[in-house]
Amino acid sequence: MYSTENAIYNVILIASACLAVVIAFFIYTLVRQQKQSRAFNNMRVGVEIAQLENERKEIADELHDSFGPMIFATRMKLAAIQPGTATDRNLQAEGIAQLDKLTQTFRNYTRDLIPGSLLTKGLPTAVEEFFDGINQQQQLELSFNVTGIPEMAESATINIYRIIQEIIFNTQKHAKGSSVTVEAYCKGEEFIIATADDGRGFDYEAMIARAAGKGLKAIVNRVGLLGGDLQVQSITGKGTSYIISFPLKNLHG
Amino acid sequence: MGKPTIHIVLGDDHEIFRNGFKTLFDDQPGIRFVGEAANGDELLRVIAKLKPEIVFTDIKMPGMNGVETTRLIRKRYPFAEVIALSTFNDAHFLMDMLDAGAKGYLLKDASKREVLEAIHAVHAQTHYYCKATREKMTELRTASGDSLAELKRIAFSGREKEIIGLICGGMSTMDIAKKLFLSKRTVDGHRDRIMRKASAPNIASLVTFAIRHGLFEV
Repeated sequence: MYSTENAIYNVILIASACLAVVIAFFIYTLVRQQKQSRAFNNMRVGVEIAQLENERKEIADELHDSFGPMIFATRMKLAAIQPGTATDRNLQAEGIAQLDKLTQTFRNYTRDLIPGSLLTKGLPTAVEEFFDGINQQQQLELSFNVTGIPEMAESATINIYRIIQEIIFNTQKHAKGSSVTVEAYCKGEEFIIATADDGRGFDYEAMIARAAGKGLKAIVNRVGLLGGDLQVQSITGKGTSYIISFPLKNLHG
Repeated sequence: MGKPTIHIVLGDDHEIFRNGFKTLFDDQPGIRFVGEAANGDELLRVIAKLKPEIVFTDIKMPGMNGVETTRLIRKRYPFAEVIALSTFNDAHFLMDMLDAGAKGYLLKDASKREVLEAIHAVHAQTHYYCKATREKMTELRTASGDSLAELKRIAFSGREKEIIGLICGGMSTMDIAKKLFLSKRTVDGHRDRIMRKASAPNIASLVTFAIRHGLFEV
């Protein structure tokens, strides 16, 4: 009697142990798969972003090296003509004015693709020049306070620049704020970018849940790529603040 | 007797641009385009051989860039004054070139009149900036809080600020003395004090200092 009961207990024990092992294995596989798919997804986003930045750089170089010299040379040749009549003089002036417009477009495109100062002068100079340009339009007042910039790989520099750019674009397009302050500093083993605008705010969780907002998605992707942490606080009518921290070790490349 | 001819050379890595630039001087009395180079090293060789009074140089060049090239030109061939030719009107390019010793800064789409004005001004030892660059400098005058605090610490007198403006505008000590009805020695004294206060070893650094701190009236 006693031994039969014992045997039943043993069987149940062994059976539940087996079941536990199976369940544990199942959960483990599930978690691993999720982790793998996240890593894979991150890698895919990384490759896509790297490709995008490479293309932008190539197009900017191409514009700078072939379009630029051509347009400037044409302008100079046109200017060297000595018109004999008033009609010719007008034609020459019109031609030059049109080339000047083209030059402006060329400069804007090249700068939007990748600012010249970003890779030669670093993040603060590029951000300041980007802010200067927007401040000139006098619709949005931007200020940038840098107290510390860590050593960064080229790709990290570009990513963080794009994140800041995207935050400003979001404020311009959606938040309709009148000012944004951006701070950049190092704290312990982290590099922090903190921004605050006075716009109308938005529901961050809802935006993420709806997978809406191209700009926001780009920010999330780029932060993820650098293993950073993104905190968004947004209060309707009071403004939005982003606090992004990047582990320093991820920025060295 | 007319004025002596001003000889100029150009360093730029794009042949098509060099060809366009040359045409500006086809019929210019008193100015002769004598040589060109496709990079910084070649430009230094051309200057050593042709001894031009004025050198135009691009900033972004393969190998040695325009900033490094300008620094070497000013060190090795002080008879040659440098005017920067830039695709972009970016503050950091301007600062770097002035810091390296360039006396003029033109965008590549500057007008023919501006190119000629620049040559004559720089040849007469005056600084010259094209219209777009002057506008940029005015923008930069909106000094940031940091530089305002620094400026307060340095405390230039009204007279010193006036003289900084004139120096940056390219006036010589003699011209400033005449304009302000002061003796040359007084102006020299002001000048020394200004350079010391701004910790500027030369006029180029004083100009960049003045731009950064909004002291430059353009």
